[in-house]
Amino acid sequence: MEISLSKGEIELLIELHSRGGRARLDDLGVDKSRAAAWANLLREKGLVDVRETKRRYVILSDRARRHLKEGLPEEKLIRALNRMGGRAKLSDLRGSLPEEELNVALGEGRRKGIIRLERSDEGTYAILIGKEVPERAILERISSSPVPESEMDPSILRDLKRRGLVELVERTEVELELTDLGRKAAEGSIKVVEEVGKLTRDLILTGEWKRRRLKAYDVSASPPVTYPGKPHPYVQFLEEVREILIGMGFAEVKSPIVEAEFWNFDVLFQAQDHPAREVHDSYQVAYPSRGADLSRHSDLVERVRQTHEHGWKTGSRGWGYEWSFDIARRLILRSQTTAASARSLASGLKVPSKIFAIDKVFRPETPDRTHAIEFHQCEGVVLAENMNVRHLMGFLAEFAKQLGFREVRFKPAYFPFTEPSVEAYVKHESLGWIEIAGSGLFRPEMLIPMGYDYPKVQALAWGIGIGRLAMIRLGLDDIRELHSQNLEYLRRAKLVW
Amino acid sequence: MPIVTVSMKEFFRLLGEELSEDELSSLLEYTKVNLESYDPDEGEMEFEITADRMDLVAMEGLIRLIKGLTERELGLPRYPMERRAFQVRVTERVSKVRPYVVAAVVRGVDLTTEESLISLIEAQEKIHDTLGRKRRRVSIGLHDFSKIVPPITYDARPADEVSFVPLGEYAEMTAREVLEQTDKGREYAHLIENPGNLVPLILDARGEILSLPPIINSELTRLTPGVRDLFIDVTGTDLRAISYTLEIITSALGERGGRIHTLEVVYPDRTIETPKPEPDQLVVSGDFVRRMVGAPLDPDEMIHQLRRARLDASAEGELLRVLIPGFRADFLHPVDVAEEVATTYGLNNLGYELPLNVMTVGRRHPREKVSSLVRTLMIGLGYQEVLNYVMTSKSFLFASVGRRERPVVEVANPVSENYSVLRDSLIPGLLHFLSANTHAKYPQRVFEVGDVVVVDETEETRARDERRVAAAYADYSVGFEDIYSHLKALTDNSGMEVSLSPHSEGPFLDGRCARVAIDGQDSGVMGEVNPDVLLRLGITVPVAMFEIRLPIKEG
Repeated sequence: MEISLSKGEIELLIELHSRGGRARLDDLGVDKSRAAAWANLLREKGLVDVRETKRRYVILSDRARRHLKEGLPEEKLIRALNRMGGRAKLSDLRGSLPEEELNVALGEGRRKGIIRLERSDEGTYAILIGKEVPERAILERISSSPVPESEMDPSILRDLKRRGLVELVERTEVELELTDLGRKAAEGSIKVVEEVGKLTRDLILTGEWKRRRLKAYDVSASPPVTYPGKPHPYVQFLEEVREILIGMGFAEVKSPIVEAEFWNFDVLFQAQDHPAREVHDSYQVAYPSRGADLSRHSDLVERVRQTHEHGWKTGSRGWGYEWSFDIARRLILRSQTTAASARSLASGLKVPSKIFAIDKVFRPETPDRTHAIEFHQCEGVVLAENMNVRHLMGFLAEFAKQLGFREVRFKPAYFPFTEPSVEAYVKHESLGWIEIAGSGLFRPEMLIPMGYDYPKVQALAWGIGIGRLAMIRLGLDDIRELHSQNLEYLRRAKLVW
Repeated sequence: MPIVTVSMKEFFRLLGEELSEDELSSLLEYTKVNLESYDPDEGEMEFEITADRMDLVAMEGLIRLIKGLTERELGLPRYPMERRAFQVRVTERVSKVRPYVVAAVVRGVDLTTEESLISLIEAQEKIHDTLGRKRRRVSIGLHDFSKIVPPITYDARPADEVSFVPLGEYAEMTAREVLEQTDKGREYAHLIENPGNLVPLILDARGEILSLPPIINSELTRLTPGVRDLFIDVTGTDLRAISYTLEIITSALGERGGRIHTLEVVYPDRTIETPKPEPDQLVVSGDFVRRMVGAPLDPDEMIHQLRRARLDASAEGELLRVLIPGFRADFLHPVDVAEEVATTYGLNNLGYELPLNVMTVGRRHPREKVSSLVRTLMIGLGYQEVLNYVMTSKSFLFASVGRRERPVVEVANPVSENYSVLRDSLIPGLLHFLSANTHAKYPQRVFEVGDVVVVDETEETRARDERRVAAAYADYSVGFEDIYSHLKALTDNSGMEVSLSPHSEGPFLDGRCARVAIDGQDSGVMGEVNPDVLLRLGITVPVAMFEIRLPIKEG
């Protein structure tokens, strides 16, 4: 007969035998972190019996640990009395140790014969008569390793418990005992062959691996957990959207987070008293306090002013109010990515062009499950000749298809800078019809001042609250989780494609 | 977007037929209106309307529209009208207090039920809150005309010298008392900018005060169910907006069988007739409409669709002459007519098409190109990507992480102090992230690629976005060398040249902190985080970090 054991199992077997064939697992001089696993393997092979018993142990409380470091109250009292010549009025002791500790110290000190109290007309005196504090030695012993409850003097234990210095915990104790088979193996009357776990460079180079027995692994066991370096699932989703748009021929554009109202609103023909421009719908910048420097765009600014006031040469009536440059140059935080489209269009794009932006926008909302003060928008613009509403819907349908939605429907909508305006809805398998995009053809009052030959040249535009789509994709029901502060969630999160 | 709540009973009575939820929803597919709820148990429906169609804020406006879509009634609504019934005189001095007024009388209105009166007053309040900008821009007064002796005067008088019984009170009060003691007075008094304590007043021929706009009407002209004849005044700061409002109200009353009487509003320098007796006209070419809609519609089809939308039009060859009623303020340009045709024809009936001839080249922005490369390398180095907010607070950025305060972008109207400035660094966000995750297994390696905003007065918008990467490495034993090794791996593998110089800056330990230069340009900072800062954040393991600006060639 022959038994195959790993190096660790053999070590444990020999160690146990050297201790008379019976010992607590914790007392064995082997690698503690692995010993339990080895013991189990030996049990499975019938070489040892494993007995588990629950036992109560005494451990130190937080308070006791603090006292060990800083001194027990009665030790502090002894020190204070020593400084004062072995005798002091209680009122004089108050400064030496905290009120509640002083009370404990006086009580314990009297009970253990460390001090004696003496009343006189001038007040009560404490007089030092002993120096031994028996608790210290006991606590230090418990501190070095938990003491089984059964090994403690019950009256001392009761006393320590009363003072809140110790706590009882239950621990499982593992005791091992060699079986007959195990004894024979340890004594050599049964042959033991050493099995090899990990292959090493040495084993390979020496050819030893051929002579040793390679241990067969339990392939159903779980491996240790590895956390890889990993993209944020939401950022990864945004990358996917970016990839779709690039694939459809769109070039990415950017605009600054701190933006002039001119680019965020005026140039889009959003009237200066439009409700979206009020303080509860966009963030005004307090610092830097100077307005934007629009001097590089003065021609456009003038055309936009005239368009707002009376339509300029756009064929529109305009809004019919006195347009204010001071409002236009006010700084806000970008509240819609259309600002990026506007800047890009105003820079003079060639026709045709297709552009997109994916960036954060900011709105003064009260954060909750569905509202965030900053969130991502995704905006796309197709600038080309002879575009119409059917083409707009065609792009939306294709984009929706790329995002994995097969059915799409359209509904009329209102946005200040597009006409016609269209909302796109897609069919989600469990949520039903959900709104996915607001869109439209940019108004002539926006395109003509930028120098485009409207109506020959049209700009199809759409905007998507991409965060909501990401939530559906990632299975989140709280928009704040897109900026999750939970590392364990991020480590577990699956990347969804 | 405003929500309009209506009584189903009243709605379907005026409509002349009952519609199921599905029938109503499918009709609304041809409009910008959404059916928010349909609740026969409560007997109520809710509609969401859009800001350009405030005529639909009144139930009567919605009914008018639906009658067109079901082709029960087509074309412009024609309400019986009598012109220039009497004058409303506007004095010189009211122009400095609340400059504009328009007014009308509508007779023979069916307002017999409590519900009909409630719906009228709800429409009035919705207009005050939206178009009216909380009564500053527009405020409406509705009066029982039988209590009034025309003509009317719109005047401004000293607040202490006039008195009347305000709506809902029992005793006469001076205008000042109304402003100071009534609920409405306290709520809206700030809207009267009164040089010399003048308050705007609407008075009748006897000198009776009908209204103190935009605050409150007089008890004298209170509306009661069964009222037949109404006087409507609309005052405000924007003549276009108040005229539009008057059209919405009078046309809604017209739907209830009212006969509209226009009035002459006599300003010191001109006289206008309100509401407008004739619709506006807009001439549009059929070709332009086809170009926008993308379908081969002939002028007759366009006219039919416009009539379903309760407009009117006539064709002269390819030119359409479109008639636009006063309660529609959303026609600025021919494109608005094209939209009306497209939506009434039905977007889903138009079909869609992906144009294949728009050949353009797609590309990533340079900032995202570099970001993507850096993310790939950081992930390869074993770092978990995190995403933090750009908006934050000064204490988050500075005091809490031991950084010295410097100027950052601040907003004037924060919702909460926690979100009141823009971050100037990614480091505080990563440290707070580690602080929130001290229970998670170490080592923790996290990074963020994101924008910070730097104040820069030379920029067009006085600030500049900077794309940066920051990384934090936290473990039981980790230090400068470990993070430097990772920074070096990042820069070596992306063609950047990195060099360090000694530096001292929070949150880093003196002597274990460096400025980082990339390609000779000062670009960031690296170091071991000061344990004082770590402990304050509840982090009990060492943390080493770097942050650098990404070198991006834009344009």
